Amino acid sequence: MKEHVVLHKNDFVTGDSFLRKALIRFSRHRLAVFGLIMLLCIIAGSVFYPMKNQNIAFDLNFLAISQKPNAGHWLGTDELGRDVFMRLLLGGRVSLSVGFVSVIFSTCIGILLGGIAGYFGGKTDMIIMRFTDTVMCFPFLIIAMILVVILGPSLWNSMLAIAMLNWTSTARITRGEILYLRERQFIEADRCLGIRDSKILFSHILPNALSPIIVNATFNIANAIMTEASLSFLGLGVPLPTPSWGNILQDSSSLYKLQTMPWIWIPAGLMIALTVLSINFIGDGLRDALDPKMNL
Amino acid sequence: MLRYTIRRILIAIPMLLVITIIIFSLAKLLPGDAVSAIMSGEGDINAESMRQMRENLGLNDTAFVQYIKWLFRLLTGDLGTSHITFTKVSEMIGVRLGPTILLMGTSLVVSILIGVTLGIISAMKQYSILDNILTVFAFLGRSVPVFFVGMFLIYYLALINPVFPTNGMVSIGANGGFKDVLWHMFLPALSLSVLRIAEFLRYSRASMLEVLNSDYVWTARSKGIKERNVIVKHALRNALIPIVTLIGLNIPVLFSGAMIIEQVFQWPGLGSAFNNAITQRDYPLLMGLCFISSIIVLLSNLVTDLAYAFVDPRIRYQ
Repeated sequence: MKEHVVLHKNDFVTGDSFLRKALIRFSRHRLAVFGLIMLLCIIAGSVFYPMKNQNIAFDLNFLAISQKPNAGHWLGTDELGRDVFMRLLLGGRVSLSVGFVSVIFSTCIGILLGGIAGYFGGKTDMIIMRFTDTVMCFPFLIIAMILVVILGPSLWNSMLAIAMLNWTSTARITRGEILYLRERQFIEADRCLGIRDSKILFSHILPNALSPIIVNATFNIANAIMTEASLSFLGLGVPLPTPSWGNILQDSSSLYKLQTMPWIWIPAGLMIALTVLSINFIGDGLRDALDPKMNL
Repeated sequence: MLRYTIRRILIAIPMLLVITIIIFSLAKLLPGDAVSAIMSGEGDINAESMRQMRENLGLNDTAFVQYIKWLFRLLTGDLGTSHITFTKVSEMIGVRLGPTILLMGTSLVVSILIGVTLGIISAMKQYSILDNILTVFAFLGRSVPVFFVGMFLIYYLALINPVFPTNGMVSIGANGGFKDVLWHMFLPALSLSVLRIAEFLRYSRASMLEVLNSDYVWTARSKGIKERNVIVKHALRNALIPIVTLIGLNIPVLFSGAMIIEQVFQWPGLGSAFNNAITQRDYPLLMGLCFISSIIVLLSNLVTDLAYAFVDPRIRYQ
């Protein structure tokens, strides 16, 4: 069956800005809206809820050891009497900050390298793209592990290590967009007018290449959160006692705790899944909203 | 095809060199060297014996000389000797390589078979209930961390309902028959496959949908060819081409996944060796493992590209 394109009256509204049209398209993507609401809840929960009473996530409380979920401790307590729910929310801070900050870094690296390669072409392009291919060739996690060992496990170093590897897709996409855009007439006009290379690149080409870069960055956030969780799980993330979803899972990976205290590790795993899922939904929605070629 | 093959191999060689340079510099950047790692366990350390030891291990040469020496030994297949166990790195890796390849290979084959089949069914029944369920599953599969799947499977199928063993590759005391290994491999392979199935499902569904909407499929239909033949002879063959690329793209991910899942199930493969190498600062082993894993990825990319050019002749002439 041929897919029927459903035309919506908003698609014909002229005079609307690109951003407004994109917003309308995004709000019609149900899963994306669901993902956005979910993500905002997770961010709000992990940023605002632990503002007071944070110490119940760290202080030992031998009167409340290994309790099952109850009214006082919504997700129970661990073997040291620490509140699992509070640790879970604090873990969210680690995952989310690593996800967002590392992607800001990696997107900058990717735009810079991809931009240079695409705009100047020739030998520069070849060297940069071969290097990108080589970095893509490494098993991501293994090199991330080695980088963290070199830098020493900490929040900042997880961000750095992930950013140093996560830029390849951005570089490729930026380069591709620029190769396409620089043959267009308005760029040729720029060149005839004698405008500086850097000005053409940053003021006229990049803004036009931004949509696919943003969509890609969204998926990269999901990827970064997943990698951070894996590093923490292997004991190379944020060091204990600071909780992160990965190290909560790692901490209860012994068979005894796995079997007797599922309320500690199942929520942490579900939170990773839920966060990554929401971000993937948002990414899908953004792709549909920002890429008018796909829609219509 | 021959010209394409040669060109593709020639591109791979400089990449291989860059890989060795990166691996070597990473290993040099690691904090503390092998001598301090060996000596840390012993009581009296004097500067003279440490200096002597560094001299013997060739650690006093300049980085460039050390790299060239390492590279030449690499060419002869010598990955060096572990500073910790004093056995050959190639032997240590050889022992560990088998289980990892077994685990990865099984998961890859299983996930391609199941994922592609489900993807095609999903595409043919677009917007049906089954399609919706599978699409949600595909989204979930992209989002759940592999170690959580592993832990959950241990919890549910090994601890709460003791059907499968929790860890290892063979039963204690048994010498590991085919059945025994299969029984032990079930859970780790399942955890690895679940996520890959989702990936293959998503792509083969998209690819099949694209082909089903293409003009030549409509031409075939309008000529009155039976729907079954349209699907099998015209659509399917073309829809499967992009899947070949997907296999190559999935191998690095699968490898990283195997490294983690080996920790969860204590599978005696490269993953656990890698962890030991990092904690014991065993550089030769670390460099060897890194090198081998990059080779696996590079080779699989090469084979994928060649396979792609083989099934789709247009690629060769680009």
